[in-house]
Amino acid sequence: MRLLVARAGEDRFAFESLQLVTILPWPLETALPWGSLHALAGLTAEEPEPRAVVGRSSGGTPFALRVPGPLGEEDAGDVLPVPPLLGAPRWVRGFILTAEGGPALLLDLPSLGDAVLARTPPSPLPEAPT
Amino acid sequence: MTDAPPSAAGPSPSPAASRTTPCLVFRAAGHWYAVPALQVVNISAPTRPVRVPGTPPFVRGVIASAGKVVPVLALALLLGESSRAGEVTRLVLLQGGGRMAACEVAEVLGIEDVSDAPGAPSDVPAATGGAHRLGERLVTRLEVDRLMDLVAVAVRGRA
Repeated sequence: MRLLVARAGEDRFAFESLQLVTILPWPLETALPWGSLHALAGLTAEEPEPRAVVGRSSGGTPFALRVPGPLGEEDAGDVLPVPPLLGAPRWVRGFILTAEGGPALLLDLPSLGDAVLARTPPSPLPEAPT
Repeated sequence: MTDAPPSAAGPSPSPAASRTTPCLVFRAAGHWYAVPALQVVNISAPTRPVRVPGTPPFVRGVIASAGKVVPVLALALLLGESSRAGEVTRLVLLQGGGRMAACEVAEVLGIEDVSDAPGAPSDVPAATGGAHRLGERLVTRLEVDRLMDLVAVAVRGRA
């Protein structure tokens, strides 16, 4: 499985490349509902070198997730299932073991899109950094 | 509430009071706990768990162990015995009912024989063996399967 990997703080988050629509520069030049990987990860600082991972919700609506750069790509073997005692949200699809040995979260973009759409009404263009 | 094992009909000369179970005794935050040693998979130095967004506060994250992903629990938070997780010097990996979880632990005392007899009443939800005195320590005996059930209910309640 080919993965796109973003690092948020000390943790790594992976997306299956097949679920990606595209990657866009930030700020967006197209009005899309969007969320922030740092906000999901509980980080208060804005993403450094931000860019937008664009996916589709389970209903097919495009959305963007602002992620920090630079992004990496790697191949992963098995996806380890979410432990039943974790209580993770639906958009946590599973885990992969990275080359460093630790687990990285594999996010499910359609479910993540559903969550972004539920939290944010269709938004205007994000504010350009000042 | 009693959880005495079913006994054979008629008077028994060997009540649970005379039996003990080897238990791992450890401290999490300010409280001492004992879990049956047979359900302890391993004890390891703590590694920083990978945080998983959207999980309950008592879930500190996940670690990889023997090719599996295992949740790391702050026991004191889960059991409502402290509002803070406290110091962590060890991870104790437990297995029960086909489920695994690692508990953050401040101090490991070692393996001690803990009575199977009901101990003093305890408010700890997963404590089926009550509180037992080991030397100067008051130790709450935890039943691992019930601990796992408690976690399952707590995370399900947030879904």
